[in-house]
Amino acid sequence: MKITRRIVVLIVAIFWLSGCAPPTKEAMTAGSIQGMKRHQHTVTIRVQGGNEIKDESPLRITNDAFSAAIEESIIKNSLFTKVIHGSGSDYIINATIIDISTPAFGASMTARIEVAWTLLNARSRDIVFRKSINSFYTAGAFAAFAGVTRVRIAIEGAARKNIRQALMAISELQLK
Amino acid sequence: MIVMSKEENIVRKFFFIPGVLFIAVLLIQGCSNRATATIDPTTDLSSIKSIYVVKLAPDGRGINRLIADKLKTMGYRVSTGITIPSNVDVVVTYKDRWMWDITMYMLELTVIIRDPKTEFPLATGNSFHTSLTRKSPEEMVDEVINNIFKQAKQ
Repeated sequence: MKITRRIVVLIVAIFWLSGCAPPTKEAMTAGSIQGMKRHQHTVTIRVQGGNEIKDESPLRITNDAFSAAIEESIIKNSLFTKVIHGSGSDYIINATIIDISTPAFGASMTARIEVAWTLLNARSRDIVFRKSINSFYTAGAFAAFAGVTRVRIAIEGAARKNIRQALMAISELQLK
Repeated sequence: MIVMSKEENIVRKFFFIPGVLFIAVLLIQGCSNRATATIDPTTDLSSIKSIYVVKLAPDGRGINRLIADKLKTMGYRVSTGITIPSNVDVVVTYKDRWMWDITMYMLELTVIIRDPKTEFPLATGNSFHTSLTRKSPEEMVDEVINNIFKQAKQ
């Protein structure tokens, strides 16, 4: 009886803790994108608007995780020749997380994320791309047991789609 | 050794643990605060003269008027409603979330300053205060707007 109770407590604790982890870089990284053009330039990524620190909130994306997901997506798709940390790159991607909307409850959860994207020429400071992207993702009722985990999955999916759309749009640009 | 009756055992099993969890959640949430503002790095808010605050359709509390009043006190030419005029420098949109704890209070307010033509977000501010540190809607508007323009000056 005691062992059964302990197992139940352990299972509940695992569900609870896994649900409370913030969205991860891996889950927000866009996979291989078909027809992506490649730019022969280097880029720096700057992210703001998310959490400054990893506070374990499943409803907030950290700047570091979002930045890392963008970087990983660029590398996977070879959109730029190199991602540079710091100064000295040809272009700068600024991504500002504007808003994250999630439902309070429900079986399937749909999250919406708005991110403001700009691409700057690092030398001339000219804005070559400026777009606000809204993306949605629905985590189905069976995506996870805990509601908070379904919300996190929905946020990660919406973030992944947002990065994907932004990189596709940047890929279409004629960069000098 | 304390001997509990069957009823006491049932009460303990079904109410004690959920009760402790409920109080823990209340305590954790009760002190949670957040006040942030971000400005697009390519944006200069100092050139703004006229602002239009777009009323959120489901807003029955007149938060648009509070935002407009706050911006007026800062010296901007401000109007509010649902139809954006063509001659404004920026538009302001917002999203408010409310919670009940004895009385209703504003849990979260997000204000976004946008380009009127492209709707591109130029700046955003967000304040989140749970029950124990709750603020009035006027104070929430003050905090968010002040944070946005303070951030823009940095």
